[in-house]
Amino acid sequence: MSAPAKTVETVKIKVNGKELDAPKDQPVLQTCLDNGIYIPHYCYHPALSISGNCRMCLCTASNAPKAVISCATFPAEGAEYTTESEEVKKLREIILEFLLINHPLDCPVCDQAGECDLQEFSFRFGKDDSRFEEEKNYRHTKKLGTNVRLYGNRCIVCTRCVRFCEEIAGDAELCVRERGDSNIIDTFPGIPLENPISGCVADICPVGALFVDDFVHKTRVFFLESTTSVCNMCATGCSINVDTWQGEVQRLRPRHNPDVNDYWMCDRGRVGYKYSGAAERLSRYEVGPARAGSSAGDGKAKAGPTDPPRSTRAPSDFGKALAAVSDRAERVRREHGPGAFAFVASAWMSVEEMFLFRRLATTLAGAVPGEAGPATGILAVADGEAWTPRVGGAFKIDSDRNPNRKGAEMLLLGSFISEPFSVLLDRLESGAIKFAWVVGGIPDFSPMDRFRDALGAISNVVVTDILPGPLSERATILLPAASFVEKDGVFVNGRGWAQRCRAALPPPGETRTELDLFQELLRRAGERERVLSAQGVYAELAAEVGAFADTSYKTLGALGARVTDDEPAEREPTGREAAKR
Amino acid sequence: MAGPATTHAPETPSQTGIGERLFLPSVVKGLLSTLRHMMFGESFTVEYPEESVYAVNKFPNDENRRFRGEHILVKDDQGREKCVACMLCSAACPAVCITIVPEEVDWEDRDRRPKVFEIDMLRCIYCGFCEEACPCDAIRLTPAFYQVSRTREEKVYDKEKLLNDDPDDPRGKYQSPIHPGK
Ligand code: SF4
Ligand code: SF4
Ligand code: SF4
Ligand code: FES
Repeated sequence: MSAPAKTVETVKIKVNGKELDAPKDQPVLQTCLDNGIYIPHYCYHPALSISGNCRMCLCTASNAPKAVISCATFPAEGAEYTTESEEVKKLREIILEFLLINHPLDCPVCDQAGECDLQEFSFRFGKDDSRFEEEKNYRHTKKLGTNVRLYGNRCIVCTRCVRFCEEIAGDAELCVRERGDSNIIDTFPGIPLENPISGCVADICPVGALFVDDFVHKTRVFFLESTTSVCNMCATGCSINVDTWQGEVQRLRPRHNPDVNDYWMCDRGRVGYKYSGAAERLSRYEVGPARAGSSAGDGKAKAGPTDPPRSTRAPSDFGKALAAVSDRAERVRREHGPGAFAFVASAWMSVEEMFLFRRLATTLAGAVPGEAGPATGILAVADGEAWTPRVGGAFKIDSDRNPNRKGAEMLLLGSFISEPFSVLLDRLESGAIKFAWVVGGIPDFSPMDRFRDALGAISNVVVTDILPGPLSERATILLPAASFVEKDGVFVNGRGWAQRCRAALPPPGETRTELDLFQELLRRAGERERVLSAQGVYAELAAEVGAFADTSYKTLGALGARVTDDEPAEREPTGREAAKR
Repeated sequence: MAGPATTHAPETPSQTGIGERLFLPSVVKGLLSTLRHMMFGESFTVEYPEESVYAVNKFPNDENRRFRGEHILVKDDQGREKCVACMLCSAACPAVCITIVPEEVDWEDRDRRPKVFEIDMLRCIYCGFCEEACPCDAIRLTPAFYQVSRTREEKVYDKEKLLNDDPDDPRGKYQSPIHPGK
């Protein structure tokens, strides 16, 4: 897993009598894990430097008089290692008994219970009793930073968190304080754990000592259902697991993807699911009358903020709303031609949605040779701050806050959007546009005033969005949309990796996904026979768009694939590789 | 009655006497026994619903403690719920009738308790798995089953109702005596 793609020098070793080719610069533990021989371990983490302090990974070796820790043992030609024997079993029992000496019986209140290595190893390898009769010691429980809290009593001092802060986050905020059994993780005075990926310490903590505040006392992990997906909060596009329970997202967790995010994700992304569960989510189809008096051809749209309030739209349903969309589009096309249309996509759509939206635009607006086509544009949020660790790790946060800008560039730029946004604004304000369709889907989005005001003066404004806001307020037809935890689709991250996002929950209320919506409209216009799943749409897209050729949901798999070839994806060394230099 | 186990021959009718083959004497014997109990014997029947099952002590040892009736949430010696909202009971419940929402507290001895604890008694099958799953002895099934209500909503017991410790209540009276203290 951690082996680079270069040819690796291997030596022949035997583990439990089985011959293995072991990469020379990889610890025996990792070789065993890669070959399906499980050795329990706490302090070893494939992305971190080797510390060798927990002793859980002990095994016996033919070339050593005493048992060795397999995480810090590099294979010797011809050596024989034993991980399953009475001796090793006994050793594991002893180690666990030591680790549990001061460990409180917190499982009922500990949020790690159910995915805790201490629990699991005690069950699988531990003794069923303890000979410890003295008082357990007490270590502090405190918040280490805004996001992370420490339950000191539960810590086994494996130092994974300390090494993470040193080698991956690069700020080295954590340290081990005190000695002996009072060993405790702490921050330096006045310097809290505040790096932007601090939440990852909770993921790598093998026990329940570190938690992201957001998940503490929320539910139990054994209730959670996981869906593999991709984070939507920025163009880094971290692979994640969306953990849900009772129809709600409970947490997001990074998922190991060596080519994208390794084992990590940022704190912003970790809580990036919050808006999807907001009570005010749009969930009803609404249709209002077309706005009158927009033909004031003075070139300047009049006062936006006093637009028709929401209430002029009446509740409707999927079918009726779609009928209204096609009817009005039809009328505008007949009366004003394709030049009276505007289509505004969003850099938060999946590539499938962009593909369908592009097609839908041509279908609705039609084309008259020699006449101007519809105005087009794309919504995106402004860049945030990029982050690169001061030292060490390969994990970086992209400054681009749009999950699929790359996909939009590949699918929409040139073929669909050929003018800059200012041209779109000019056309929207000119009064010539009679039908605008805006896809939002961006939480906390505040469009430019000019755009907002222009929308408020257009007779037909179709808005597809997830949350009420400046866009939905100006809609004459409102189509609720699905958020990223509710839809299937492919997102292309800033470095050109296409990854699949999977629906973990159904969209709220009567909402249908945009994929259904666009396809149903196309179907009604006679442009397609059936409404397909995201996979089917992707297949169509791959057949049509060069960069995606030869890819399918199957080849993308869980980890995705690279779909652009500008700027090679160079991988920087992980902590251990870096530490070795 | 059965013959020697080694033979497979059917029992011959000749082994029973003429009286037994006629049944009548046995019937009369049985009726006489019934009559004796009716006239002179002690009655174990509770005239439910005229008679309250709780008021009349018909069971040996005062109450039939093994009976699995409606739940209580046990209080500790400080009057707080013992429950730490670990949700193991709701995980164990085959009827999925326990709803728990945990909340954080800053008590010295624990940092978590249920904010919401609801049991839907109409869905409960009184299997007692919750009681068995509980690591804190915080939930118990009491012998109380005679709990009527006029609406379905009333049969969803909330935390307050479950924490009942009224000694006159059929459930509340099981609060402490079984395991006093923590
Ligand atoms: S807090 Fe967790 S990761 Fe850090 S040393 Fe303790 S057990 Fe290890
Ligand atoms: S008795 Fe059984 S069915 Fe009823 S709450 Fe307990 S576990 Fe659930
Ligand atoms: S198992 Fe016991 S402690 Fe846990 S939630 Fe249920 S009643 Fe509370
Ligand atoms: S994993 Fe080898 S000593 Fe901790």
